[in-house]
Amino acid sequence: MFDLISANPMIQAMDRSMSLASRRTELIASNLANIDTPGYRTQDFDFNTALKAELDKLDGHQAPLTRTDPRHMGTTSSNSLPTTTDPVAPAYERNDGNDVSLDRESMLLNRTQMNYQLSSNFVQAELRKITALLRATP
Amino acid sequence: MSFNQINSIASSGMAAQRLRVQLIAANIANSETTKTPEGGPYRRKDAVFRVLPLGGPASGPETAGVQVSQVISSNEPFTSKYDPSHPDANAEGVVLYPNVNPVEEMVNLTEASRAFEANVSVVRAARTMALSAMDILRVQ
Repeated sequence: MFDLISANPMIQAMDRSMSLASRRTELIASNLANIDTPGYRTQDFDFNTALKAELDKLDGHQAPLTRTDPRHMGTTSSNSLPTTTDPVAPAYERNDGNDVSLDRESMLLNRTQMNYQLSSNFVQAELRKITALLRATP
Repeated sequence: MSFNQINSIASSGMAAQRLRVQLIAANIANSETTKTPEGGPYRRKDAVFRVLPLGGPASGPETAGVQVSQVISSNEPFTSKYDPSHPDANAEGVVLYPNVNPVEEMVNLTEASRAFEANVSVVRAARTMALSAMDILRVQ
């Protein structure tokens, strides 16, 4: 019965999405804290690709690879994040070697926050459905 | 926990910017100070920021806070003014005034307060996110 919650694809997917969103918020916090640090480079990852990779793993789209030889390369660990495809424009770089853009980070902060809220609302809606279902069961 | 991490990064940023504003305040307050305990007129002070690495996931982009590694005194030349009646005037009657440029200080002050606000907005965003996560618990 608890598969309704623990193996619920919607909840699992949204869980991954929320983890990635909070990881990205951490990076945005780093970027904004270091907005005046000489030589600091903007840190980010490609959210869409990272989420897609997580979801693919979830659905079992990728056959699990077994290492039959120690020389085999390992599959990507869940910790590795794809590098960003949305690089900061070189025009942002100031003469102290710092390329943090306040506009870009503020915009990303808002977007990430909305992503997170959307995901948590989806989880909540799913849980409401399950509760309603349990109530309807005599 | 991730939200604590976000808050500690943002607070390191706020602490660094606050120290910077403190130095700017000292610079503006002492822009006419001709005598200091070290001797000579006041020297303009500035904070040097460094990345403060925080332990995060082993791979992927790194999260980092910020810290003030040192406070430097400017070595720019002092401005001199002819005023023989001044007690700090030298043999030629010239008084050395601090190398503080009020315009530069105001620009730095604006920059520091904007950077501080950016960190505050991160704290606010993290708070909203944490609240929306807690909302999941309120399933009727």
